[in-house]
Amino acid sequence: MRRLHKLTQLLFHLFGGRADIEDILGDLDEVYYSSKERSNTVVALWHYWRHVFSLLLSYSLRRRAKDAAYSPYYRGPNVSIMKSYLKVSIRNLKQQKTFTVLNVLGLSTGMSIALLALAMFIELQNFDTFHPHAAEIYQLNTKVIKDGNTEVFASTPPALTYAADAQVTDLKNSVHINDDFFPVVKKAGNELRLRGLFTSPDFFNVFAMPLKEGSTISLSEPGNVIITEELATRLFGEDTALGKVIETENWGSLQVSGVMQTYPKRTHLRFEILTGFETSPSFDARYKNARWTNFRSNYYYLRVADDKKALAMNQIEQLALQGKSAMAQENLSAAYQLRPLTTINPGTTMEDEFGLVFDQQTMWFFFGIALLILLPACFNYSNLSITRALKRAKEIGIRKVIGSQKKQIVEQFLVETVLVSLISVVLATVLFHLIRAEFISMLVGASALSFEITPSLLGVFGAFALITGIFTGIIPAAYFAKISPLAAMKNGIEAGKVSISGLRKGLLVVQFSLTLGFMMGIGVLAKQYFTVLNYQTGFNKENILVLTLEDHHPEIVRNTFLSMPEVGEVSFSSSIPGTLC
Amino acid sequence: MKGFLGEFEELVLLTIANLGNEAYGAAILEQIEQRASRKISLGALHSTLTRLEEKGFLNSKMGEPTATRGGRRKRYFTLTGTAVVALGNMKSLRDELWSGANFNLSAE
Repeated sequence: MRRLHKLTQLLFHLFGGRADIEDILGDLDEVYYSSKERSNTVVALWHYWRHVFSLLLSYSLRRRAKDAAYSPYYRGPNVSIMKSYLKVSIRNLKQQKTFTVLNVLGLSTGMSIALLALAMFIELQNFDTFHPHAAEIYQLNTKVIKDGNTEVFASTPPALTYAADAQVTDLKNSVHINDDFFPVVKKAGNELRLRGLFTSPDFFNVFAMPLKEGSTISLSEPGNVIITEELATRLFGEDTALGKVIETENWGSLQVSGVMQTYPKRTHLRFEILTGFETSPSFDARYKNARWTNFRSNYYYLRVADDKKALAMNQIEQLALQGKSAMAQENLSAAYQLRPLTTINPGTTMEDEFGLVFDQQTMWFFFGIALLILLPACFNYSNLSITRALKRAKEIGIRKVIGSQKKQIVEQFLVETVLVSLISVVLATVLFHLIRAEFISMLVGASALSFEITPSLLGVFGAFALITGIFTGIIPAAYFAKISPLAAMKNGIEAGKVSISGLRKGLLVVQFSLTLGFMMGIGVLAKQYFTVLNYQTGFNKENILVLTLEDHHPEIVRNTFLSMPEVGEVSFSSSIPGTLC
Repeated sequence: MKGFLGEFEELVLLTIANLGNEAYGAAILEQIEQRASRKISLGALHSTLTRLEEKGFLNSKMGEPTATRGGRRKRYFTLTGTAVVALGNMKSLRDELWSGANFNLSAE
């Protein structure tokens, strides 16, 4: 019967918490024994459990549980106790000024890097989401298989994409882009190489980048360009750019027929100037209808409803069959896939990538580093506050003697650390504000990140501080809660006799090894950096120029250059040697 | 007064009145099971007791610990004035309806 009682009590505790059920347990007992007297144990037990289960789900238990929750013995969240925690925390932090300042400085330095990573992560999540139908827009990619190796290209054969325009049903919008447009402009004695795209007026149907002035349709006229507001200011200053002519060295005179409004930076599209495919003679019918291989720089975006996506993909694969023989001639085979616009950033960098792509793996690596920088700061706090226990032992002892529970001591210390981490995050935000410009200039492509401090970002920072505070505080809090009141009151805690000093040592080791690791990392990095700058690559870098082919025939380029007496030798490569892209 | 008396509530109140000073959970249960010969669960009974207490028909207080029931105290229930009035009203309404009935209800 005793074991039975244990089980019953456990059940009641599960369902009713701290509800007072003394009389109910008594009733159950009495009913059980009287039923046992009248019949036998089995029947009595059956009735016992029937009563127990009816009670577990009964209103009376719920009501009693509720009453218990509001009794003075209730130990849940409570405003006045929170106030007291806060008051004691502030007093303590004030009393130990050096300790507080040291911790806040350490934590905020560590946090500022983490905030940078956090802000970057949030911004990347919002990349290209400002287009009204962002969820329906896809980039068509090519999976090229050559000699058993698969490479995914962001670009697509023009023969396929132009056929898709005409023959894929349910296509809401689509646009072709070629990024091999680099007009060179002479401006105040300097040569400006502009980043341009060949595209069509459809561009403005797919992407939400409205014009400030001019018309989008003009893009289908040869020699017309649409420029960004930024470029307009750069080239023409305060004057109206519309209707002006840009004299270029390689594309002749280009007429400005439109100026774009400034659009959000958070897009993978990078360009200053747009022109129509008609501007270049190389985009002829042969290019559009028969080019299956050598499709670099040709990108295709399409907008299709979610439920029609599979159908469209099917049709594209059917169309791709036409190019099979052309591909086979070069020992290639290809498959195609759709990449949702919103997953381009952060995403996986593909071959022949278009625009700006932050590689997801690199991002995770960066976040990992940020976390590793934050960790020693947190451990540092934990360690310092455990050391402080020597001074605070009496306080904890008195608290325990007047009836403070373990949980309440843990809460007290958590409030304290959260307070410290909230103060730190304010300082860290200031630091973040100061270092973000440096960070943007350091990171490739970071110019696309604004790192603007918005209310929602501040909210995220606050939540981050809360989590950091709890994470940092939980170890010292648990430690403080363990202190025996007797030992604490008697003599304080003698150093070296602390019960979980092993843990402290562990923290110390981790903290020091992380810090040392970082210092070594910085040393190696600096050495590498100088090595890269001064390393003998085995070829002479002096007087070698790199030019992009821009779709000209390689042999003609070679012969033209070789006919110049100044040119020694000419060679070709798919990318610039010694760089990654 | 909050709410009307249900049939089971009336039964419980009257049983408590019958038990006098000895009205606690198990006793009420046994009385009802014996007299009305119907099976009720402790859960149903305690829920009703709790509701009646909320409605102001019952008062309860814990008794002294006894040697039986593993030393656990009993919770004794007593009727309040409201309950007495409500029961009286109920009875007079019943009597009125009985006496005014057009059929002979007392047959057999």
